Amino acid sequence: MTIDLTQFHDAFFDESFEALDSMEAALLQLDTGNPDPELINTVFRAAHSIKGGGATFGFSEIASFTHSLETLLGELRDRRLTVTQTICNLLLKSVDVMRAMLGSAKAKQPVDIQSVADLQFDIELIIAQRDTRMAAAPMASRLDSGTAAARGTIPEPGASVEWHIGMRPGPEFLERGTDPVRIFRELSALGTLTVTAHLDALPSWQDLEPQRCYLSWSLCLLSDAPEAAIREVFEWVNADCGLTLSPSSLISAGATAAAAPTIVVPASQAGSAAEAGSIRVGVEKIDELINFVGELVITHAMLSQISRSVTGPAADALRSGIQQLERNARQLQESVMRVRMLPISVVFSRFPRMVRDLAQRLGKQVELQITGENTELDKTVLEKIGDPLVHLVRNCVDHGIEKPALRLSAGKNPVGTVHLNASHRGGSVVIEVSDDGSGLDDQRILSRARAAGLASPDGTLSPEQIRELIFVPGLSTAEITTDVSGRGVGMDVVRRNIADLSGKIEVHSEPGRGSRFLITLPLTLAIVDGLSVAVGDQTYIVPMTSTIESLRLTPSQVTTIADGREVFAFRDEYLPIVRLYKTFALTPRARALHDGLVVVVEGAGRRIGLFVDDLLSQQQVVIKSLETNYGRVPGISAATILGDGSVALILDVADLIRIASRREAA
Amino acid sequence: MDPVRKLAPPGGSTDDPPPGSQVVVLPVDCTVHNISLLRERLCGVAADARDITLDLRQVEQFDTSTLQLLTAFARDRAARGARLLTCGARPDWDEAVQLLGLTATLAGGSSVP
Repeated sequence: MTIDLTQFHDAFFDESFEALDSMEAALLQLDTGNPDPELINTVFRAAHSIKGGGATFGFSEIASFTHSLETLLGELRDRRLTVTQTICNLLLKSVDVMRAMLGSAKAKQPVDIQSVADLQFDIELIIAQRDTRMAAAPMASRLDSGTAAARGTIPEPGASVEWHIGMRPGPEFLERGTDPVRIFRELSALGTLTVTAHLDALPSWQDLEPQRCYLSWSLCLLSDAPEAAIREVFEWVNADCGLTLSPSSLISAGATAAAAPTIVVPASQAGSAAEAGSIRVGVEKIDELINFVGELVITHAMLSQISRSVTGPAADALRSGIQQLERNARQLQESVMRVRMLPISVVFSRFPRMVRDLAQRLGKQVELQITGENTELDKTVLEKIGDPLVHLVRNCVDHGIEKPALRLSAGKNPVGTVHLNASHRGGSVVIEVSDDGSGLDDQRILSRARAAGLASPDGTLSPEQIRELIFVPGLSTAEITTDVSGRGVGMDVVRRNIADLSGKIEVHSEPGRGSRFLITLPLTLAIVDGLSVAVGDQTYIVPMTSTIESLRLTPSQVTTIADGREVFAFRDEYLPIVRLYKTFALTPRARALHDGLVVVVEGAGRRIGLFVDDLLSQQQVVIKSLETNYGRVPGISAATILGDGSVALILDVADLIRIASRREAA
Repeated sequence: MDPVRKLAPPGGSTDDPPPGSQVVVLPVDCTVHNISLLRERLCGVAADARDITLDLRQVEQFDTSTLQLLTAFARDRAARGARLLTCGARPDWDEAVQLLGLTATLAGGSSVP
């Protein structure tokens, strides 16, 4: 008889990936000279948790590998082995291998057995070669921060201790798929187990809610296993289970038994305390909720529009009620949007490891500073900003930070600094990636751009214009093309990815002092602040993040160049005019430029003027995907529903600029 | 360490239901996800004053929720002066009953003649 465990696989993978994240974070904090025992414990618990799950769910390769890893960690924890840089690197490689194994298992793909076997061999070799002198260290020093030592009940090897364990599961314990039978079976493998079930809370069977757990247990375990081993059995116990663990007496050899206070074992000992008050909810459920809230916002806008034409005694009450509805809808909308928000630490957390590895490979010394990691951002934005940030941070380490000798000769600290910061500014999030390296070499950028035909050979460009060239496809100033960077792909992709998120990127640089990249992103992709404009009988939404200014042009401000294209002077540069009615094949109300308005917009590092009939209003609009419901439309990013129930299309400014550029080139 | 297990090796029974008792066949899936079905089956015989035998031969999956429900049901039978018996239990069923400390309530009544 077996329980169908496949239903718990997703939870196992999620929790294992989280455990690996915490393992990696702890390893990166580990000081090889003076390792914090609690950090080693954290790594040990993560490995043990994955091992337990791997074995339970039948992932034998994962269980086998983590078993070897756990043995090594046990040696480190008990100080029979010293934490060295080599071991630290090996443990970090183990994190990578376990991630790959879990990824393969999740995708139901075969595991790369060779890489696992190689690393497992290295781990076992270190264990075999351990310095046996460490084993003679005093017992007290071998104990981790465990509580038994603090209470004077330090069992010597071979001494059996009678442990009293109280286990009172919460009501949802069984429903979550946790089975006490498995826990007790593991405990019984550690020694002699006596189990007493408490039935006092069990109602009559007619009143019993069968999914709810009413049972609790007192356990007596006579075992020579260390306290940590007993606690580890409970690691997979859900957060809603109360546990007590106390040693009663030493049965043989050695230390004196001492009266000890009962230890309350936090149920989610290995996990974070925050988990106790949280639940996992599928993203699709949240998206469904957001969609309904969006519908509510639209319905409110419709009601509000209708109410304006209502007269009579009930009109005031109706309008008052609609105002109340607006307040409630807005609060609901903000609350729901917050559910989708995640701290940017989710993305930032990958960089300590990446910077460390890169610096090692490049022979550089780099310190990564992270600030503002609790700044929250929409989940979708977070998922898409990861790759651009990887490019930027890699470039900082590879191109920005100099080698230690060069830094010393320039009177700088040999250890370079890369700084990642995130903060809220108005309705946007600003992410800053900076370094204190050599800065951008304007002359080299210009000469490479000229050599590649990306800049005119004799034109004069300002420093800002030269730096903009790094975002042009095909430009790289790297002396050597490596697997890190220097292939001339990257910065253009960075800008395009950020533009796809309705964001923008700026670069600042000072020779010898470093570079600074500023990325501005909208808080969410579900709702956008937009400027509604009229073109013919249609309404379009221009995202406010792309809008710079609107103006009415006089004929004298407009120049028509040789191929018939119209340009106008705007803040020291000439911008092309894109007549939206032509782009979308509409009949406009205004054809003469002075009869309509030009909205100056920015995207993909360029600016253009969009000619429209009129500006209508500025408002928040709920984004409805066109691609999901219809298909991709050039120049359009999405649609929305206006207060009168009509559909308006949201302009994709970056795409419109690309279309305009292609026409220029043609 | 050479762990000493106090728990006896699991036993089990493949006996047929004893004559004269009301028989309830437990479903294949006796986990928390299917517990309502088991409860319904027990409801159908709860008022019967005779001994009730749980036929476990079809059970392929079970967990503590089932044993908890049966514990409550066994207490109810005892209060009525009737017994709750089992037949066809596999070794891991008996082991689970022992591990959970429910032998006195469940296995105690499972001595099928």
